[in-house]
Amino acid sequence: MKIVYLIVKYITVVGTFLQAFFEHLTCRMYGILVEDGRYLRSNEMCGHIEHELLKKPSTAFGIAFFPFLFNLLFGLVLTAVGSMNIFCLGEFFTVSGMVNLASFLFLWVGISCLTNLFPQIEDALALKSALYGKDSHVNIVVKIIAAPIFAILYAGAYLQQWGVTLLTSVGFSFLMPLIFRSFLPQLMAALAA
Amino acid sequence: MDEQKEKTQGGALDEETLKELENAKALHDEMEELAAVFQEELDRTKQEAKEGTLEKPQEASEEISEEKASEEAQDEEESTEIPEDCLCDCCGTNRRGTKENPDSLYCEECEAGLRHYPFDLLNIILVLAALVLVFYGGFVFANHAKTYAAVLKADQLLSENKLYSALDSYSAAANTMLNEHINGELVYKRELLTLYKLGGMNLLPETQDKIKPFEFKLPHFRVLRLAIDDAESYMATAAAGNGIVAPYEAKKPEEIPYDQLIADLEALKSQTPENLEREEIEGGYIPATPSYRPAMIAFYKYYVALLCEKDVETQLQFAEEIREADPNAIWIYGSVLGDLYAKSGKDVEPICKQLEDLNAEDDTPALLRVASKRIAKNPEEAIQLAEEQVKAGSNMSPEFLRQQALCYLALEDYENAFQKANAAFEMAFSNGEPSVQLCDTYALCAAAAQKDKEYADVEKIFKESHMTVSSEVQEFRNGTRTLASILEEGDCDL
Repeated sequence: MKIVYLIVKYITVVGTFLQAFFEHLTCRMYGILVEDGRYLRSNEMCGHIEHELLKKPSTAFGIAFFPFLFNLLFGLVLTAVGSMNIFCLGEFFTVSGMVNLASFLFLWVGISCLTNLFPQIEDALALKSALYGKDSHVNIVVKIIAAPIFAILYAGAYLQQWGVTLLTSVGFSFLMPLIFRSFLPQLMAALAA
Repeated sequence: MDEQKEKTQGGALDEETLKELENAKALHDEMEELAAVFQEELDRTKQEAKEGTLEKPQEASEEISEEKASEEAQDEEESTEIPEDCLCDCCGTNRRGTKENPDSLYCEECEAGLRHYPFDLLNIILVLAALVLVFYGGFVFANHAKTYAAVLKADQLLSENKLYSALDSYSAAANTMLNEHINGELVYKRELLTLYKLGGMNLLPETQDKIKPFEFKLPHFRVLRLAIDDAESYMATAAAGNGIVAPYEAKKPEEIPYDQLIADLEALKSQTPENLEREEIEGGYIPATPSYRPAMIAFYKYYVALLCEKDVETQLQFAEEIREADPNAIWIYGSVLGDLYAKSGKDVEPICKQLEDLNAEDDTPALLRVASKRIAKNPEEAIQLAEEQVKAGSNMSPEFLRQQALCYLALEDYENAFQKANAAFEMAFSNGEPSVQLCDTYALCAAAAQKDKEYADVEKIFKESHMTVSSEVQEFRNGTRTLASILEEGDCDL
């Protein structure tokens, strides 16, 4: 498992690095104690920051959610342009005949970011405990609102542990043109009008 | 001898072992003494520390101020006091635990530092680079959005089987790409495959400067490569078939050597194309060696039968042969077979369904249904079906109006028949040139409605094109043939 995880982490090194950076940034934001600030360690902490155990619901949520959000935004923008150029247009070469490296770079970095969205299992469990544990004092409304996000983060953390997120993000990039097909032509027509 | 030797060796070994044991015992005793001395010293130091009589270091008292020395001494005192498992995990000198969290593994200073763990400059630079890439990606997306929208619209139309609109949209998208300097090879591929589905076989020149030759060997261009190879074969067959039939196209049916032409066309099956005129462009894809396609040969046989005015059954036999040879070549046999089915009173629905599945925008199935209803002596329903198509703005409106005119003729409503034929004629004239069949229908309706002036106008049009009104219409006008024999016998049409 660890080998698969590490292989996926190193294939998607840009996303791994960015996730760790955003986790570090969140730690700084919340004043969370960082025990080891190396981003690319060759163990299960690759792409994560080793920090203190989180008990406060807000910090537990923040450390899981903000790296997810930032990587998602980066990943969506880059995967959109990369997959549209490669899978929809087939812009493999420029007009002058050179390989279109930019499109491939967009796609790779985009997929990398989308592969590394989710927190590590420990953080997901800490979030579960902080939000839905026995000693949790979180308001029921907050619990309900946070439930879908928590479900995504929790399930994603398990998928990421096995490197499955690489497959899901590649699949998503293939589906991107189909998703855009459902609204982009109408949107452009409306904007033109 | 041997026993003596063993005894001597055993004796030597015992002596050596005894010596080693003695040395070890001496070493052990020495260590014990040392341990006792150290323990004594440690106990004494602890006792002195407790009593506060520990001597300050001589050097320190000389070099630093008294106050500082006192602090250092205090620290030293404390560190000496702190057990190893109570030291800070980070600095290893101070006592772990803070005011806020006494159980912390770190001292006050280290914890404050770790809560603001510094960023590496290189990491910040890399993240900024990623941020720049994201903004550049967004810029590229916005710049390409118009092209994406055009291509996606074409894709949507293609998925809905609206091939004519899809082809138009792909052409528009290709123009947009050209203006924006985008080389979208997959868009060209989809455009060419759509054209291929519709029977546009002249694909090769389109690919020359758009797709690199080596890419045809890659899996994602395999379908296009096969289509181009196939199209080359069809074009070669069409060229050969045309070479055989073209000289007889303007001749009368009785002057055409039907059997000879059919035999010549049949002989193509065992030949391979030679001396092909290919538009070869340097560095372009060279398709596989083409072969004559039996489906296209069968089509030329049907064409010869049509020129020779053979009966519907003979024509149908060749049309069926096309389908058997290549069931996917609906673009060749679809409308031909449907038309012959309608004329021979067979069910046209299966072929209509096939045509609709291929291209939802094709009005041929609707036209086949109208013709089928008319020939099945159900003109009212045929008129209604045709009216729906005309109202929907079909591209084949003149043909639907012509069918309506024939239906009204069958109903002996000559005035309405003439009105419909006139509408069809005018519509076709405004769109281009009306077909010979439409001119004949117009003449027939004019003759039936006794519109001599209009009949003379059609005759004039035919004369300008060095042609004449069909013999069937002339015979009807002369009173030697009835409308029923024209509309219900033979091919049931003009």
